[in-house]
Amino acid sequence: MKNLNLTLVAIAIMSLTACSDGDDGQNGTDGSNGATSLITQTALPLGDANCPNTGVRIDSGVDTDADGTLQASEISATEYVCAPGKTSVSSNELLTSVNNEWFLAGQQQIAKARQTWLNATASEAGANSQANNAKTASTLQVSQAANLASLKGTAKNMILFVGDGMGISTVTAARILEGQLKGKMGEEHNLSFDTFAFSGLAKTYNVDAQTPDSAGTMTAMMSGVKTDAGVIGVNEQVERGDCSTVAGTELVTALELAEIAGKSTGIISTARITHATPAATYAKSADRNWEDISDMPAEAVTAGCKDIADQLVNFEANLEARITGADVDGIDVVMGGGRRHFLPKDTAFNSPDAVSSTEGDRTDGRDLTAEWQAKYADGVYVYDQAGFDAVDANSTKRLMGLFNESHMQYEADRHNDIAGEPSVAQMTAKAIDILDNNDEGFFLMVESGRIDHGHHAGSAYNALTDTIAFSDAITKAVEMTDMSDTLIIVTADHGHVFTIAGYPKRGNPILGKVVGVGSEEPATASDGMPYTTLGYTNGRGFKNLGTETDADEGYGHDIAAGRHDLSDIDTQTAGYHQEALVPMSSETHAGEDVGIYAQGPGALLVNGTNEQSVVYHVMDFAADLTTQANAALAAN
Amino acid sequence: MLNLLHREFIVKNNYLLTLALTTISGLYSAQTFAQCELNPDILNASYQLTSSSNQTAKTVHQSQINLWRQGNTVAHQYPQTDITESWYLLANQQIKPSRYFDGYQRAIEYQPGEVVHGKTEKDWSYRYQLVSNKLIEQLTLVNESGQGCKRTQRFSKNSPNGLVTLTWLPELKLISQFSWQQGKGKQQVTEDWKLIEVGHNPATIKAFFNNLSQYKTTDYADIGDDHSDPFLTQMVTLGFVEHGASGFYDVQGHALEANGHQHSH
Repeated sequence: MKNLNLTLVAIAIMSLTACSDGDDGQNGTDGSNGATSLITQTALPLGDANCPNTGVRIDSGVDTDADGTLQASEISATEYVCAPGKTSVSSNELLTSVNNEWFLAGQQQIAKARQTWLNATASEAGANSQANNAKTASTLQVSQAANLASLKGTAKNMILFVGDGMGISTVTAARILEGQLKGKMGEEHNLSFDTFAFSGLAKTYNVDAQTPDSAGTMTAMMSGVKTDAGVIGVNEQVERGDCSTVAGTELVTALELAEIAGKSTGIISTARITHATPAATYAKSADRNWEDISDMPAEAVTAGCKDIADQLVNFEANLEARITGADVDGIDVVMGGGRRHFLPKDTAFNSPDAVSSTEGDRTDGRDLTAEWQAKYADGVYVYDQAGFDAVDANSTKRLMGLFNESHMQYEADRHNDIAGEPSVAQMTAKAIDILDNNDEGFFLMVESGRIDHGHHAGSAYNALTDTIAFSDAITKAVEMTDMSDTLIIVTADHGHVFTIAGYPKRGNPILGKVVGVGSEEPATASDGMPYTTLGYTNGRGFKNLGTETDADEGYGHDIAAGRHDLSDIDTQTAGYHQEALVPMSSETHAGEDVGIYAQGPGALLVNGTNEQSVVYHVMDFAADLTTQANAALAAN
Repeated sequence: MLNLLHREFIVKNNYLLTLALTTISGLYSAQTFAQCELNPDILNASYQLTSSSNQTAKTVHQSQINLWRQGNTVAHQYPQTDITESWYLLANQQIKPSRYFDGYQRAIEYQPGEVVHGKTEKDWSYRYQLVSNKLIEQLTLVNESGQGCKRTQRFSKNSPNGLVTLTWLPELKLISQFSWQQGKGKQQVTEDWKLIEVGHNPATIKAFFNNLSQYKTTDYADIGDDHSDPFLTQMVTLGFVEHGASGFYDVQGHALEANGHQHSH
């Protein structure tokens, strides 16, 4: 602290300024000495309440007790002189950030995202002006609204990819696995749809279920209406399993609108083509399990409800009967499994690659594959790889491929199929090749149905390798279509109780045991045993089937939930099934949100957190399906 | 060489052979042909299974297993537990299992190559005959007698793991009698199978398999899709997870541990 005596200074100034021309008077009596004024300066540290960036506090007052020190009670004024705050940093100071590859990549991503957004939102006429001109907020809003309106109907083609059970954690783990299979560390890798410009989240719950099933979720995505679990193409007013409640609850799907609008349509699934997800594109059923007539209760048959396979083959007639004025030509491309639901329960109808003594399940004696071929003389029916390979996409107008008695094989098990099966990527390519022959455009739904089954069986290997195969199919679709006229949406119907846990170091094998940062040995849990990064909250639990590639094999073993000593087990083999906490006969779906990834016209509408039914509305907007369908109906 | 051994063991094992021949004669009294004209692929057979243990007190447990064959399809029926297991042999030699829950008229279908006891099902003979060719090959032929469908072979093997005896009808690929001992004294466990009935009526066999085919079936992979189905969600307690079909030998034809064996499912 510094004390300054200002009294002397004041006297000095007075002596310089007290000059006059009159006579001098008598000297007055000396007065008593006055009190001394004192000033103190106190340096303030960084972070001070009054001077956050340091400074000086100046206190002033009269030393009334003449002790030469300015006591707190003597302070009559306080002022602060603060150091200025630092408002900028030099490039040198930021060098470690700006030169960092993650930082640079982030900057580039921002630039790319901005341009993507501009490209997506700008109409052809207004794109440059919006990008270059500063506008008021209100003008911009009007412009954007106009631009959005101009986007309506710009998608000539739509492809909806549905990874059954492909929740967020599945996408992440599959991304890492694919990266590691390519020799990378994995985490930095991207699946094909990871690079799509737009993404959002979908809330998957069914109207009557917190954790959903595929029937309710796919109905929401295809029809724009959330409904109950277990029902196909009908709203929540239906009672599951009761045929009499179906009438009046039937919903219109995006595929049906596309048909009415004159587009070509196709459906692909690696599950049975009558399974819940593909069925929700074309069928109306009070129960997802009514895949053929033998699955239905007698009263439902008597009441006039049709099984799902029947509805697929008779899609054209059914739609025309349900919607007045509709004149459609049926689904052009159908590929998947589920042959059993189309064939009579008679060995005479067995396919060459039948895996049952009697392949068909139908108890009404009908051969729906024959009925389909009779209905469509230009249609080609195939059931194996050779038949598939022989299909000339340029000359084929209609294709039905039923490649398995039940579900198609897991991708990892596909080589074991008797007569051979195409991959989901091969089916996607063939379908696009056929469907894009229509100048009016097309709608295609592709489901990877066995991701879900891999998880149910507790096999991350099968779920992830099928996800990678699914990603390959999306790559093929991107390569074969033009982003300016084709909307591609990739999503899932629901997630699974599948976790990526522990603290494995970067690049640790995603199917392996957790090895911590800086370590070469597996980490151990509090029970002293190693644990894997991937696991399930419930299900059948631990299995070690070695090189077995069929996830369903795990069902043949006792449930073994809980912890097991993995010390001497290779958890990266195809036959390893991850540990599970809660013992159940099958691992279950999860109630979490799923991702929606999109590119192409209208893709910008995919953002934020949405009800799952938004998927339909995005497609309807982007292709203006309803308007086009109504126009077609009016013209007929 | 085998013939010599055969004759030698006829004398030594006369008592057992007589029992076996008596049983077979009763079952095949109408079959006196030099060649067996019965089709082993169309057949049903019933066995009485007796399991005895000296481990604590002498305990005896009896149960029944019915073997059904129809072409490339075989079924093992366990009347005590209302469970029937079935296998279909594909042209490419893959095996497709199915499991029927008779009390519920429900069935679970598996993909070809399904695992049983931790191993992929590859040994058709094990399911077709209840005893695998690999096991028979490990046994010593003791004697052979009869002709036609009644031609009978008796095998035996005494190893440190225990005594195995098998009376075998090679024309029908059918067990006539099969026993297995393990341990000694109070540790001894004995399993014994006796053929008690054989049928070749195609109508009966067809009716049996037709009945199974009427069950509501669920694909194995679909179990997780529908948790609203009480049958599927309770499969574990219904006996979905079970031990071996016959329980005596694994798919390699090796005898299973006695204390790990259960007849019930």
